[in-house]
Amino acid sequence: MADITKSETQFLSVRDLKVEYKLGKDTIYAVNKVSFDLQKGKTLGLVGETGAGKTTIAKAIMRILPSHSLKTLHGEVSLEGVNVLALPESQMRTLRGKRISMIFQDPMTALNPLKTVVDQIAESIRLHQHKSKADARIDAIKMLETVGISADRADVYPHQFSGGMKQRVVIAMALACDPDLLIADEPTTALDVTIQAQVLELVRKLQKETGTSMILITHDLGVVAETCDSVAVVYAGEVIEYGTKEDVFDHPTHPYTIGLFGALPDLKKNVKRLSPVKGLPPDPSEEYTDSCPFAARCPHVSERCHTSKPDSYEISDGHTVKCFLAKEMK
Amino acid sequence: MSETKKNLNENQPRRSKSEKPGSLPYIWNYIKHNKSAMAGLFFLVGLFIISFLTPYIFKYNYRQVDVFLQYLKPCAAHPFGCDEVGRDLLVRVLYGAKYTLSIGLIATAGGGLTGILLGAISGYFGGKVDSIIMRCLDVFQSFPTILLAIAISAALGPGYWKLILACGIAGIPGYARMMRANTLTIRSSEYIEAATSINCPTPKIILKHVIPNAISPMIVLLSMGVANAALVASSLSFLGFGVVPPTPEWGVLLSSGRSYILQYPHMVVFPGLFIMLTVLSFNLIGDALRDALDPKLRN
Amino acid sequence: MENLLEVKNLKKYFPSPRGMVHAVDDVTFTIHAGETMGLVGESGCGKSTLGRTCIHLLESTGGQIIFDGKDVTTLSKQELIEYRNHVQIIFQDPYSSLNPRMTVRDTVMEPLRLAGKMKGAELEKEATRLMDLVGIEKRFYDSYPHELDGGRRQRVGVARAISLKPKFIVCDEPVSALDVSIQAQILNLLMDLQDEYKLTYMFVTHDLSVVRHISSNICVMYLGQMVETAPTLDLFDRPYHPYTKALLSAIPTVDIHHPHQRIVLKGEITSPINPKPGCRFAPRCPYATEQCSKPDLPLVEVEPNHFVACCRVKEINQL
Repeated sequence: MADITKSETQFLSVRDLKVEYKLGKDTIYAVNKVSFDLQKGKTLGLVGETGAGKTTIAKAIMRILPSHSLKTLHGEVSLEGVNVLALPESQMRTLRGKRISMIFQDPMTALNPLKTVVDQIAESIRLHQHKSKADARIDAIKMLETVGISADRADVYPHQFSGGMKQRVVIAMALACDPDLLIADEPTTALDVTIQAQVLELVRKLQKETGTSMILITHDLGVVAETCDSVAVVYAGEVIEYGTKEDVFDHPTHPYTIGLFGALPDLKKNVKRLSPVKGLPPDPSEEYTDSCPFAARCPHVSERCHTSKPDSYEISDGHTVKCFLAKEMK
Repeated sequence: MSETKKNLNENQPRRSKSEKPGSLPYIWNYIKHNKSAMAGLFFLVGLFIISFLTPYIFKYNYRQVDVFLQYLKPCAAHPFGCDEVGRDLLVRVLYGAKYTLSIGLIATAGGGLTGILLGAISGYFGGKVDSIIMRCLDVFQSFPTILLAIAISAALGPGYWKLILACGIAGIPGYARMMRANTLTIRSSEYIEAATSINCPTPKIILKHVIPNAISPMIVLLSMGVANAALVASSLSFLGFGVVPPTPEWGVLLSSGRSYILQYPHMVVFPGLFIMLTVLSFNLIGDALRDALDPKLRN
Repeated sequence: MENLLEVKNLKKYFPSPRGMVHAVDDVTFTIHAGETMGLVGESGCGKSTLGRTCIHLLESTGGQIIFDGKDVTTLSKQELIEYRNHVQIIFQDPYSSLNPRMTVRDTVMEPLRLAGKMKGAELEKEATRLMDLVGIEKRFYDSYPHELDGGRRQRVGVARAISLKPKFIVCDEPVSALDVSIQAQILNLLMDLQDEYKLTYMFVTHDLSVVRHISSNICVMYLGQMVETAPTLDLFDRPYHPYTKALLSAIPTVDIHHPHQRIVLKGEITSPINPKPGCRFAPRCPYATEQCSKPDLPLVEVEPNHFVACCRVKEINQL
């Protein structure tokens, strides 16, 4: 295991996070010993395809995993030194919304259709900052204006807004209590590309102003390139490549990461045929304890990939890759 | 050496039909484990079989009159007692089961089929066709079901098949309405558009693409509907419409025993009990079917 | 190269409780045989409606459609059946474009069975050939859609579309619902089929990087109007319309060392119900003047085969 040290001084430090669900008689190995860090005020991109486990990681940090199907939750999630996973629920509740906030993917379903947008934001403020109704409303309107929605549209119901505006309301709600950590789960996937541009611009501006640290979950490498400082590539519930944006984009090392870049139609290059990653995403009910989860699809697979599991090897300062090929590069 | 297990779809043997949600084997698999539904099913099937075998099981005929046994209270020789002309009630109740069950099933089958077709056509075409069909059904639905059945039955006259017709017609609006709603949901699916794009003629689209996919929720409605139809049939017979004495339909039995309810309660209790158990059984089965077909509960 | 599909001033309006929705308004373009025309725009621009109108899944409200030299704007029932043998569609959502109660084999065989030209063993053989062609493994021939992943379901959709040997296929966002690695597989399949069977595609999408890869020409739409049309590389190198420029600049790029200057549009998209005359992009356009609300947008040819619907195009681009 590579040496990701100084966990006490990092803003957020995740070590060996493991999440398992039960589905009928099977076990779903959603997250398998994930470790990464996040510095204060920076943005980490969690990249991967559907089902890779990115949302589960986020929900584990927030401790909003569904309790009835949760089987195992191990590991350490240190937020400025405090292990969030060990906290009692009552303390966790004060953390959620106040210190850690989350933006979900679908703005259509993230908002309560029966309450006006200003009420929803004010509710969050009242809960965490114990302000009066009137004060909370003033703060809420200010928050709406920060995200570009004028005060005269405050008493409007969510269904009267477009997708982009709904997402802005969601962002306003998330940032209303000035959280230290913001987790954004595919915040722009459901939006048109010009609206996506607006929303990303907004998020970047707000982040700079408030100094909020952010974890951005996405499958879009372009979004990562524009907004993130560091990147963790997730596959089959594991972080198979981790490093700064420059490390991962300029020197992608893990065959899956390379495959992801190769599958992208590039606006600048003229490629005759795309080179997709062959095969299908892995089975989450399979526990890859002695093999590499990517072996079945890897163009550089060898015998040892089926018999033992690669560790995270550090190929340059802070850039780790979970692949035997990386071991050779050290 | 651990073999890397292939992906979910790659290594899977071809799934048998029983895995397909909504198919008969799948439903059976699910219901098998529901104790109350299975109890209900055993009761109904047992009752139906015995109903046809009464001449071979019991020594009394359902029409056998014996003046000396009038109003006999339940005893060893006659476990359910006897009615006002000395006929053995046990045999009459069991023999009469076939009426209630068959009327319920046939009326629901007929009414259901008609309702499904009307609902599918109404939902698929929309516009004027939809309006006409729905308004006609509205007229029917503005009457309470029993009253509607009484009215139809009174107009048609007494008789087994006429009773079935009355119960069936009274049930059509409910089925049509639900089917229409399901059809509207499916109507906007892309595979319906796809069927149009490959030149599938409209009747075939309705029969092959719309109805099979809209029918799942109907299964529950239909099974509850059988219970309802059986109840309506009994009620009508009780009131003197539909089937008439000496046919030992349960409603008729209830009607005959009505005047003696205080002195000879056994004449009313046993037919009533069987009506209740039959309706309960159908409802339990219907509940289990609903659970079997509910996609959310499946996970 | 002859013209396979010519569309002139095509209109498609939908009545709604609040007024007439101008989903497609006055659109004109030509697609040559063997080409792929990319139809791009954001949600609500009318691109899907346009695609469906061209193949008569929706009836046009005005304008003209000419297919293979014949006017097909209005068709009799018999002519429609004939027309559908030449034009087909691949749908966006692999989860709702297949009948959940039909096996893969049934779905692929259905068009041919309905056409009545093949029966029995011959039909089975052809279905097998098609399934093989699109890359569906043998063990899935008798599977139901819910047993397949998105990519495989989409392959079934492709097999169904090519079964009648059409000349023209509308691909309505065929890869939008798929993961990136599967997207690439399906795109490759579509391009291979095009090469082998000389197909012509209208590729409808909102994803500009995908359309750049697969199209020879691109038509950009905004709120029912066509704003720009050009050969692909020309459009990406030299976009002229303000909306196209904003659209292209909005795409996040993976080139971290050359981030481009993003044009962020102000405001929200306006309503397509009873729209005001003139350019519908004007409310959000940084260059709008009162001239822009005059009806009859001019279509200016700024370069060979490169058309722009903007009255100020020459000034904006300093031509």
